[in-house]
Amino acid sequence: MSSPLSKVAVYLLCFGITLGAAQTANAQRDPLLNQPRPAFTLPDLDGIPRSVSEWDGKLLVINFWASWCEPCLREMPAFTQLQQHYRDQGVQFIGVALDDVRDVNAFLSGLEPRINYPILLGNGNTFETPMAYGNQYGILPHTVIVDKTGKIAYSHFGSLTYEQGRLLLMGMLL
Amino acid sequence: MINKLRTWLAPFAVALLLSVPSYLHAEGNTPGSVFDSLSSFGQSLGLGSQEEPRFLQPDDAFIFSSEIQDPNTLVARWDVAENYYLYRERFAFKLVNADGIELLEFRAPKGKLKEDENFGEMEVYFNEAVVTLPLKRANLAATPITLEVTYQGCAEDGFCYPPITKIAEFDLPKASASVGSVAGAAPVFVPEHERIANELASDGKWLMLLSFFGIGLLLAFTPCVLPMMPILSSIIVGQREQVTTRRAFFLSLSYVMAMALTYTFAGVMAGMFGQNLQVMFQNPWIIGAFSLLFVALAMSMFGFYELQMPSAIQSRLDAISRKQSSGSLAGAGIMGLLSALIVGPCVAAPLAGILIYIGMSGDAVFGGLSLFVLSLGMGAPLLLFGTSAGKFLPKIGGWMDSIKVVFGVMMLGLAIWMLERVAPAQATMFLWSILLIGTAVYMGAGTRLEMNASGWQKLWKGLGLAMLFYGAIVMLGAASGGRDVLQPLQGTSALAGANNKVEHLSFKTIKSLDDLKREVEGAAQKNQAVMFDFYADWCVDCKIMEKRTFTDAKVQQALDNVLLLQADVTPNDEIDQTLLKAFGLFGPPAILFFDTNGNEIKSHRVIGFMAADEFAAHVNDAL
Repeated sequence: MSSPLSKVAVYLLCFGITLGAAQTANAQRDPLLNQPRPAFTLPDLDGIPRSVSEWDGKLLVINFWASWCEPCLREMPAFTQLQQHYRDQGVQFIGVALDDVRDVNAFLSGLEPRINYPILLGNGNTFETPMAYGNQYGILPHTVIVDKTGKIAYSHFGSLTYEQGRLLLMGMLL
Repeated sequence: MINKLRTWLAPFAVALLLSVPSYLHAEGNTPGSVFDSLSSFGQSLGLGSQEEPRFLQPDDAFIFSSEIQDPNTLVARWDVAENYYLYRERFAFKLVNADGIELLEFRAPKGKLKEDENFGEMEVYFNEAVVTLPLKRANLAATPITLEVTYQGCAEDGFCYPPITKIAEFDLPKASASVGSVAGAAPVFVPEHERIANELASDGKWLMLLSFFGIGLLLAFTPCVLPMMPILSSIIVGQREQVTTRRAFFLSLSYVMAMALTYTFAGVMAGMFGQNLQVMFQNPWIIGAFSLLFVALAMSMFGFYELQMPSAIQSRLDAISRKQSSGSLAGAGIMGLLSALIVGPCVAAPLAGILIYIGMSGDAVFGGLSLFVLSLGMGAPLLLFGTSAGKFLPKIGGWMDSIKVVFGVMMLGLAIWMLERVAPAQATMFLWSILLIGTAVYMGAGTRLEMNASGWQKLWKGLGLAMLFYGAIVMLGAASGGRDVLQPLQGTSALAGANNKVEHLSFKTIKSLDDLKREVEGAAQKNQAVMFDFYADWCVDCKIMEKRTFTDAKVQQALDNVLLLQADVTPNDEIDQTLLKAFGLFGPPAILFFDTNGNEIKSHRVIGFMAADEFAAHVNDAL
């Protein structure tokens, strides 16, 4: 029990009990959790329609963003890094831009390092797709993780850092 | 079961991580314990306690309202929830249904500067945003209008709301003017040319420019300019061939514009030169010397002597001028340029006076503009005369000498005005009364009119009499302790009741930039707004504002609960200069406002004189 790993295991177990209870109590509040992911087909930057089912079987991270949303832009380099580090373990990021295509391209072309996951264009400025994923008000950034069985495992509003993302993915990949 | 475990484990992992202090910093919040951060993250996941929403609905985060401020102004207002903010740059306003009504550029107080990693410095509004929307009304009748308002904001916690568009409908009442007073004040970010135009409008400088045009016109009717016009015109247009009216007009215009160019240059130079001499004008000896100079200039207008360019220079310029070919645009232009340099005896003294005046104002742009307008005034009769082939020229006669004398009186007035800065108020009041009475006598206030006197003579005498009486009252006022020529009887104890007791605003005097910072911060802590006034003994506008504006009840009411600070920069030492430079100012008059957060409301700086009513409205608008 003296190894750091086992300490972590004990921590996790303790929190697991507390939070497990909380989650059960809030099951009604987040009806989408553990539900099959809603389907959508959106064009990518080359105009080719891409269906979300294309990535079935992957641990899919869907990131809703827009170029007018500063916190969204802030987290994207972290996502690029995470994509690179976890690709081998079946992790796939996709970005859904709720924005004008010109603004999207303008932002992406200036981004360093360059984005290494597909960016899809949400239907102009309508928020149909994020709304299907429980984003009633179009709040951005909104990140949803779909597990390898196609169920929504996680949903988060607000920006994430590299470390937060890493831990989330590690947890999911256990 | 495995799936379930994963869904649990992921948030714990993050929660665990959030408990590491370095992370908390990166997150921008500082929960005290692992449990705090756990619950806060749980909330953001939608897993936390049910009482606290993870984020506000857009309409609760930014509570929008709008209203009609006056027939020319709409106001949009947002109550912004704590830790939420709106971007100034993302405000957009549009009238979708408004017949003959346009939106002018919106005005908003300066927001907080927020450093965004990706956007750089952005101006944002926390707590509250108030945007003023001036309207331009071609349609003055009562009209229903529809306003479309778009805004976008974020929360400090790192998420944003999409742009929100609201529709507001108003029944706009009928207006008396196409543009309201709000539209005239300078917004924060406007192009330079608009800023100048706005400054002109807000400071009543249009009126001054109009006066300069009038002075120019008057100069054209002095005895050494008007009789020259037929000759001048024939030289410009040329006599050899018949010219069309159109051609005559453009030739004259070329001459006038070239002349204006020279004068404008002189005005700009005077203004620029004066910028560095502002301090010099606080010295009583120098002010006295200039005052005497004005008296001397006035004497030349009364015909005691003649002031003009040395004849050697005049004749040389004249020679060049005569070499120009008549009837060509370029020739007319060069003649115009040169004519401005051959300053005749009637023009020299007033021109010198005006240039000194502009130099004292230290404003190169306004100086240039003034001289330009002045030369347009001077050129207007020539233009009319040249184009109409001499039809509209007034009869030349003795009345032109009166105009010359008017300039003399004006310059004596300027001399007294300058002395006001250094001499006791009563002394200058006596001088004013003497000037008024003297002029009145010259105008014939004391002489009997002939039975068959003309209407003009009667009017002249009437004006003279009015001036005589006013002069007498000013003298009476001065004798009984009055200090203000425009309110001469304020000091007379017999006439001034208890109600007339003048109450001054009580300013707290500060000296250095550090003093200012300390006071403003102290006020911000008490949630108090601040008005900060730059004052100097040598600043005439400051003195007039002290006398007229700050004594007004409305102004005092508007400034109730406002901390009043004043810096006396009369010495203009290093500390004063640092203070002025911190705000990009050259010198007084300048009044700055700070909101209750201690930020300067740059859009509401007052530079130059502002009358009581306008100032009271301005203060209410600013704070």
